[in-house]
Amino acid sequence: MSDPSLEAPDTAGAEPDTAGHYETETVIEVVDYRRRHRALALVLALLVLLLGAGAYYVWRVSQPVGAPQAAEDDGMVWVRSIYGWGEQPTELLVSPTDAAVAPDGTIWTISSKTTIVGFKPDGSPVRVLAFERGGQPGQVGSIEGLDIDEAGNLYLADFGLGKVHVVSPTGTFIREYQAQLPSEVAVEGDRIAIASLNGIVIYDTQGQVISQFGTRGNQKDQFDNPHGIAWGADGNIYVSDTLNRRIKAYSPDGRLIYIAPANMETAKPAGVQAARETTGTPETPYQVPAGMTRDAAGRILLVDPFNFSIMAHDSKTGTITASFGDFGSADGMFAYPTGMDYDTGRDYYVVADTANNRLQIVRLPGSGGNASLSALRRLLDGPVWLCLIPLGLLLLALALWLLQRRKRNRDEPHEEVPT
Amino acid sequence: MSEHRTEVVEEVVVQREADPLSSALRFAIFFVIAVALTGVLYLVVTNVLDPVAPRTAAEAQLVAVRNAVKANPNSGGVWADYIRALTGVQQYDQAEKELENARRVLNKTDEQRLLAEIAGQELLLAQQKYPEAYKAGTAAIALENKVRETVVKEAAAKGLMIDPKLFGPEITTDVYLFHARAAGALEKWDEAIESLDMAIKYTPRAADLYFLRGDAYLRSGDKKNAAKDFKAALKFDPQYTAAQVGLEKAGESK
Repeated sequence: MSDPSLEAPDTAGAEPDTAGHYETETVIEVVDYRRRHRALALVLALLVLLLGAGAYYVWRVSQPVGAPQAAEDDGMVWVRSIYGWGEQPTELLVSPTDAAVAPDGTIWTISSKTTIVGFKPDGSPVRVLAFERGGQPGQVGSIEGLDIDEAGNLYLADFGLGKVHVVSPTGTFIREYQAQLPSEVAVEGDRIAIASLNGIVIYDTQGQVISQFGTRGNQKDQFDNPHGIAWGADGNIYVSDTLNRRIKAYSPDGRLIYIAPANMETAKPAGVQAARETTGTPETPYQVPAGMTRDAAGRILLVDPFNFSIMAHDSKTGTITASFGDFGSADGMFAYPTGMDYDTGRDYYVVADTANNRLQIVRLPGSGGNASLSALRRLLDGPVWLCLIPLGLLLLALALWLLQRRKRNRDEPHEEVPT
Repeated sequence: MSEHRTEVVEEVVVQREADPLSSALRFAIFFVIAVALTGVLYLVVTNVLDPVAPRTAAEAQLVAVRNAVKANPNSGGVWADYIRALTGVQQYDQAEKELENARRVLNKTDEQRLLAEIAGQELLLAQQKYPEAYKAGTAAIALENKVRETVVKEAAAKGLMIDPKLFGPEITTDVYLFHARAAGALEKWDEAIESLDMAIKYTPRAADLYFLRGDAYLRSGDKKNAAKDFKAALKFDPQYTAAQVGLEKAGESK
């Protein structure tokens, strides 16, 4: 910093007062701040440059390798894939058949029929619940589907043992519900709907059966291996009648509301394609409709493993309103997906992409999620996170600076130093 | 004379001008430092630079081939898959490191090392390092000849007579094809044609090989042979648009 250069006080023309005193002279200290400014600016520029280069490097390195850069043609946007909780072969997901999102955003899925794995929304692992296979308490048979209640407890549809286990997020068994070969479960408030081989059973949280309807078959009120069930916003129950290749809507007391497509009221037995072709089986857009969920718009969505897609429906009519996805192993494509769930908070769908041994998180148009909130959340999913805390600090620093300047201006506009 | 005494009061006051710009710059510097420290803290806490599991299909594939290499480090095929996977996602630096690792691990088995060297050729071509790719291609051809000779000799020692042409035709084809691509990029058309001759000898029904040789003929001014090869390419793949265009350039139509 430069030394201040003082100009000599100009007293040559000054006159003494009547008492012979000279008036007080004020000397303006002219300091050359330019060098100081240049040095500070240089330091700042270098720091900004370094910070920018560092941020760019971090951004480059943190980008997932091979991530798709654009949305699919159908408007589906890939968010991320989750392949496992580590890189070892034993830490990778194996044929996940269902996925469910907890109220705190934790994504739970099933691996190898006996292991339940939880992931944070960013894909990092939370917990692995590896159950032993068997019929003893604390053991499981073959878990096909799962859902989560408002308290975060897991409901596991155990096809092998014929029951639904209720398990805490730490793996403690809480209770169980009996159901014949259950393949899927949906929890809404104090109601638990279970899709089993022979139909639907609805329990309350105390274990009392509220209603039970359906038998196995292809008639109007029958089911054949339903693999998807979801509660509608209207309190109705929607079911993927998988091997009958149709979906059905029921009131909570078991009254049939509709079958879609309408011409599938009596489904032909699934099986021989040739027979289907020769007997004129009604056309259906489904191959094997499976896992179901409901989104913020109230749509009912399901995955069809053999259509390799997510199909969105108008819940009032069962009409298909949109279809997303295609077959493949690239991110944003599916190979025999069997289960899905919707995260209202983050406005994304989690799909159990079974044959690709992964979960895929995607966003779909028309989800009805809060657009601005979703945009903010999308922003937070990315590297902008890095800037949030610094932004807060910037605001704090600016506020402090303004306060200090205001105080200085008010109290002492000019610092006076007697010499 | 007046007794009036003049009193000079030397009360000089210096006013120092305020310097808001310096203050602002200092705040900005502290802010940038705070941002940097916060960023470092965030990276440490979130471990974002070192994800524990694959996040995309490409990362899953890389993990799979890396695990395969760990499980079977003496296989040239899995090293080649690993290097190709890295090349495919443009992680060239890592691919180069793994190629060196492969050479070190496979240095006792020419046959296995050849597979890794072929992946190395692809890596150089992807990087558009054509002189290096050409050089590597020449070395790979020499290695391939040596391996072939060894295989035939070992078979003969066991009383077996094998057709040298039947030894890994796809391997031989790749060696010559990649050499031809490097030679072509360097406009060494004669050598490119020579290598493609060998590639076609071992894989005689591949439309793209005929197209590449036709293209090499065309660029070297031999329209007659170029047309012949473009026609051969179209014979195996009638929808081969580039071959149709090449044929027109050679002065003939399909």
